[in-house]
Amino acid sequence: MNFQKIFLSLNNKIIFLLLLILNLFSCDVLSPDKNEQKKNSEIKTIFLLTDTTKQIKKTFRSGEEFYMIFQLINNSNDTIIYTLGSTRPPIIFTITQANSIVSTSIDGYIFIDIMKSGKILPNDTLITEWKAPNTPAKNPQIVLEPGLYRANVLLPKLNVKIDSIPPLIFEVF
Amino acid sequence: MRTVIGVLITLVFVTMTQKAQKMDIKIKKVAGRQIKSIMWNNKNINIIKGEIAVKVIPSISNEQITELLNYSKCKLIKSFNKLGWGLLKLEKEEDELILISRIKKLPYILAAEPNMIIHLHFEPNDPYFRGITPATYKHQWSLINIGQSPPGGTIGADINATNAWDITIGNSDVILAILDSGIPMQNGRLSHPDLDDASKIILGIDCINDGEGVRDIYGHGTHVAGIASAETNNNLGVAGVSWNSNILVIQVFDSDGYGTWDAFQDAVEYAVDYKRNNPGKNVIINFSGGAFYTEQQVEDAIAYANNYGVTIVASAGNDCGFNVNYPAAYSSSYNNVIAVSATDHNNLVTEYSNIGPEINISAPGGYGTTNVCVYPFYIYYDYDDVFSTTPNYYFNIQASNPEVTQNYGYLAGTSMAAPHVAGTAALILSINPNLLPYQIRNILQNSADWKPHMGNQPPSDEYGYGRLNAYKALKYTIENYGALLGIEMSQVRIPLWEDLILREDINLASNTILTIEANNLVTVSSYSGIVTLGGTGGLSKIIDEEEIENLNESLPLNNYKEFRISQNYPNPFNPTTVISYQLPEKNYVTLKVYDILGREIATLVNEYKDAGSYKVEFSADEYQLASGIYFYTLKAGKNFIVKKMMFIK
Repeated sequence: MNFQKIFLSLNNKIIFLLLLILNLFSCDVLSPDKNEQKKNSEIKTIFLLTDTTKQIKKTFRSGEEFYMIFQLINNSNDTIIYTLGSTRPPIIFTITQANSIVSTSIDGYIFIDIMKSGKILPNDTLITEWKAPNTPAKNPQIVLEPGLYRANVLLPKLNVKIDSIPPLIFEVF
Repeated sequence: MRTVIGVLITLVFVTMTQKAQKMDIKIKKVAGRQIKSIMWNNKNINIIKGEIAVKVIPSISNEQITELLNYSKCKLIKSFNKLGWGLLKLEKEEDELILISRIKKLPYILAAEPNMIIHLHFEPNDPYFRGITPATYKHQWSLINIGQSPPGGTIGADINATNAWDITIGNSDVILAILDSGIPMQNGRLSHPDLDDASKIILGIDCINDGEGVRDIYGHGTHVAGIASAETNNNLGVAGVSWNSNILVIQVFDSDGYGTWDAFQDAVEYAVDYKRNNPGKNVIINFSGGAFYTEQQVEDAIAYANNYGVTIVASAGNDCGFNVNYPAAYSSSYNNVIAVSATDHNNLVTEYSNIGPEINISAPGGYGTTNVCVYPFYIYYDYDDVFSTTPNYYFNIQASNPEVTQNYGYLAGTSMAAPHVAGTAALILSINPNLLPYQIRNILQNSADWKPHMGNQPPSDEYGYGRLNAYKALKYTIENYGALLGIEMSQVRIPLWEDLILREDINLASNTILTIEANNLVTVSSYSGIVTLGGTGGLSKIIDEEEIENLNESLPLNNYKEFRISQNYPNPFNPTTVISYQLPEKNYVTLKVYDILGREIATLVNEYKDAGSYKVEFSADEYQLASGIYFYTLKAGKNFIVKKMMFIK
């Protein structure tokens, strides 16, 4: 009986030790410094508004078209991977006024609900432009009334951390 | 420890054995008659062995009938009805098809065919469904999940397709309009072996005008069409949900998966007009796509479909718990829209699925990939996803996901969940073509499986009213709306694992025979051409005594022959359930509920009742019951029956 107790106790200790080793090993494998989403200073973003001649501007006439341009520059040695829940473009622009969406770069478009991923290779740049405030598929087309607006960028899910992209405020007169 | 494992293995083995035995009994006999599989009109069907249905000329004489019986060496087991159909039984061993070809030559025989059993727990022979060569395992867990490995999911985390197919496999009057990226075509012809039947696949229009017609270049439309209605039981590839339905191919996405709301509007209009221009046809739209933002024309298109009774099944989107996309989000304002979220092989809502109060129902969409929504955002499609048809040539999904193979492959997404629902909606319309979109949605919602992990009670943002159950949807349809089982001179069998509870105002069509076998298999047969169960045209119910000789039970009928109490429905329940019973004669009746310790909980009936059929609703909330097993007893005179029910909060 005593022997059995000793054996069981020993057995439990062995199991405990095995679990401890496994736990330590797991901690090492899943250590945050190795697996956390990377924030890489070699990844730059550029977000700007220009007129149709690509001159940077923040004021536009009512009815004037303008470009919203976003660049994600990968100067690192790692490939950036982004994922999407549909076939939509990786970067979406929106124009808002008083927290209401006035127009977006995908207005009038529909996409397939399939998950897909894309890559930005080292030393490559993802460039997205939108000739605002309409898309060819938007129906009806709109004219921005005079006032203050915000231009925003919606990013896909990225395997690297980047600083949030502050909205650009522009005026239509 | 070893003993415990041994006991567990024994228990699993015993359970499996018992299950196998039950299945075996179900397949072997119908009302004591043997079943046989034969090829008939190029289809593998099950028939009653040795029975031939024969149609004779209206003026047939008794002498000619005698001559027929002598010539065929048969006896007449069902007299010729006013439409000329009767049933012969072979008195000696002979091949039914040879006999049919012989007697068709007689001048007074207009038609002859085997006595078909329709959908006898029909497991189609498609190799990826069955797990037979060239498949190495059952790939289609979303249709029937027996815990096959891979992916090793939860048994029953499926849409219960095989039981549903026992009731119907769909019919060609229900059109599944697939608004997507097209269908496989090469040299102007349908090219996929599971999607190449020109009599089934209707080539619609290319609303995106990419110059390729409805040829699928992206690859998504092919997968969706296959889930909803791949050609099935053809010894090839995969099975579809509503495989006897037709497919209307309408292209709204180009080779990159882009489309426009304008194309969507055109596509919806085309699908709706197809129904309007083809009386007798019904249309279900599947749209596995959408966008965050909507336009007025989208709502106009949905309203147009609603006006003409067309249901739109739409995927919620895959943005990892983000708001439900449009047009699915219109489900909150239009009851012809069904918003679908995605579950995995363990009945869990997927990480990628969009969720929200607009979700009506969830359905298998595939697991996706671990960490699809968190670092490292990896997407790889494999065996825990949904297996279906893919183009039999290179398609553009392969550019980002080369693991998705040609001909057949795995994909995941709410895109894959929606066609399971659309296919089931087509099955529902196949047995009751008069249903309106709001009724179809109610049926799907009210019959969905609600599991404890989904929450206290439906609906939830993640699962809507629960996970799709195609079989229960059909059963619910029959019970609450009636069903038209349009089979000529054949038997239709409805296997039920619970009692069938018909709504009181639903009658059987005249000349319909409805019986329940000992193992709760319902047989409906008719000799008036069309078999109808339910509906408003029924006048009376005729039970053929000869038919029920071997049966233990019959449904409650006008002539209540026996003392009977049904299993409560639903069971398990939360918080209400219905108990049905019938009395053959007037008697003093007590119906009581007890807990597991024998303590009386409630007296539901305690009075004299006339002969007839009764239903009593029991609410656990009224008695503040805890979850658990309860008993209900029915006593009438010398008769006493006890049944068990389960309340799950």
